[in-house]
Amino acid sequence: MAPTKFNATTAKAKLAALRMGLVEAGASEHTQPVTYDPSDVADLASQLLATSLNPVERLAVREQAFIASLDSGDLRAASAHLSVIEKQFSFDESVRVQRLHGLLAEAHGDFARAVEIYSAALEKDETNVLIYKRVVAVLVSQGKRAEAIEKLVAYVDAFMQDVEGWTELAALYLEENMLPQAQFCFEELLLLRPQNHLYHVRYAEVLYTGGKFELAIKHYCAALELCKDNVRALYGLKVATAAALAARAKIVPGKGSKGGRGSSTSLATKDAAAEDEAVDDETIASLSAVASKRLAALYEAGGKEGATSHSVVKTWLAI
Amino acid sequence: MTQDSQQIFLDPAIRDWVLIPIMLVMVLVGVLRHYATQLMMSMPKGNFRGVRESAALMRARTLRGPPGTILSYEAFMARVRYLAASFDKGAYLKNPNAATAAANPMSDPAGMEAMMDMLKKNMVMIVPQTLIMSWITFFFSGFVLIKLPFPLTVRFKAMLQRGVDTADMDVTWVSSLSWYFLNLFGLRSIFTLILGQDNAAGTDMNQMQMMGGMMPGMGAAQPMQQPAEILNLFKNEKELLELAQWESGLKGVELRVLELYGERSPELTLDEKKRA
Repeated sequence: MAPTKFNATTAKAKLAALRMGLVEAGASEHTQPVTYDPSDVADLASQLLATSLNPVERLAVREQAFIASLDSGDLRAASAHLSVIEKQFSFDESVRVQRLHGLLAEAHGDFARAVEIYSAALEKDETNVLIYKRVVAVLVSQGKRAEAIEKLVAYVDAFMQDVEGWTELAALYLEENMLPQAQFCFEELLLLRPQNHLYHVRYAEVLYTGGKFELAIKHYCAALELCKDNVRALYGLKVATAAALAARAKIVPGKGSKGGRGSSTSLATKDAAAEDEAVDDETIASLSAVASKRLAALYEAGGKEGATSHSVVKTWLAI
Repeated sequence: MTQDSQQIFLDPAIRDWVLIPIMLVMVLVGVLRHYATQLMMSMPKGNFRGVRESAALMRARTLRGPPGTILSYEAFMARVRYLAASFDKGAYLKNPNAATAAANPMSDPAGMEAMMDMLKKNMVMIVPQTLIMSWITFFFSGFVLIKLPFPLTVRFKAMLQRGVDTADMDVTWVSSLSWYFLNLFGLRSIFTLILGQDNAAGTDMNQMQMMGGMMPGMGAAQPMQQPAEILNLFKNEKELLELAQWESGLKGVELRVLELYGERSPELTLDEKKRA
């Protein structure tokens, strides 16, 4: 994006949208979705800082510019921004500035120093969510996944409503191939955000991988209900239905839906639960058919550009 | 009571040296108070265990609420059992031995801090006010400062003529002490103009009452909450958890999805419901 004509108001609005996370909150229905492009943000911010701003917004933009320069690898510009911020809030006073220093140290690759800064900051403010997340991020970028998980579990034990924390923990568990733990994390995420189809899909994927096909089908369906024609969910549904049918055929042909279910709970409720979750073979077969049909139709709608992928999908579906 | 029956002429010096200075001092003190509170306000210090405590309660609430139905039966029951057990043990309490501790907010450092904050705020409010009031009563007691341009009923006499005990004077005359009070409660919008929306300059009666129940952010528990109360909250929550009913929120999704894609007519589902 070439800044031929710099418009302060739109730049301000765009930076504010990125800063406040309006993109994630789904407020972008009438505005255009804003994507985060660090060099673009750094550019806009430095131009915006040259204009007149009120002091509060100036600081916020300055911080944003600092982080954007870190992201785009311009460490010298970042240090310049930081020293300006520090003129107003000294390192000893402000935990927020300490965090920025930690970020800079991380960008320099000086993880030991970053961790030192973060732990000092946590001593000052033991509920600073951002700093906890940084500590985990440092461990992840060092490749110490087990330690990161340990820290994140302690974090999530206190900040149980933190969606980001659970998401990261789930991702870490998946990387470690710890499926039951990842499953637990996705269950927490579903509790917190039951309307988010992406969590349904990812939960279903974990379930499918763990061999719980019927529950996976349920969640794929829930995702499709929330977001029609979600391709990931359609693929998942196709695979899961096939697996479920194959598994049933292996145990008892016909009514064998009780397989693979957990053990020992109180009798009455357990039976009711089982009945709720039971899906007959016919439905599963028709779900599979629907998934294939929709997938084929979606790729066909892609037109000429999708021609190759369309044929690939068609052959895959034919198997 | 006619206008001419009380022809009082006020010295212009009163306007220049009493009326305007009182207002000016009030505004300046308000601005000063705003900045003093900003200086004295310590950042609300979060408490890790406190956050954990309230988060646990919230988690239990979500679990037994509508979102809980989305889980499978095993996942739901595992959570219910775990939370109920740990609530019973008090694993999530801020201080696990709270049951035996004295119900004294002074013993809790966090509560103590909150109280200090409130005390500071009140001090910043009260000290300048008493000073100004004594300044006015000392120098300007009995002064009549302005005349309101509209008639008023006798009832306003107590409000507008404080410090001037004259039975016959027209109600529209305003005494110095009353001018002070008018300023005290009337300058709010001016402070908003000068200092912005969330200033600490003015005195608002609502605000004063709210201060007692105000919570620091992060969804932490109220600073003044008694440990025993929290213990009860947990006990209560545990019972509610044990009573929680589970019904699959995903019941019949497959059929709904089939309907969504037109593979199945909605009437059929109704039929099936009747059969079930």
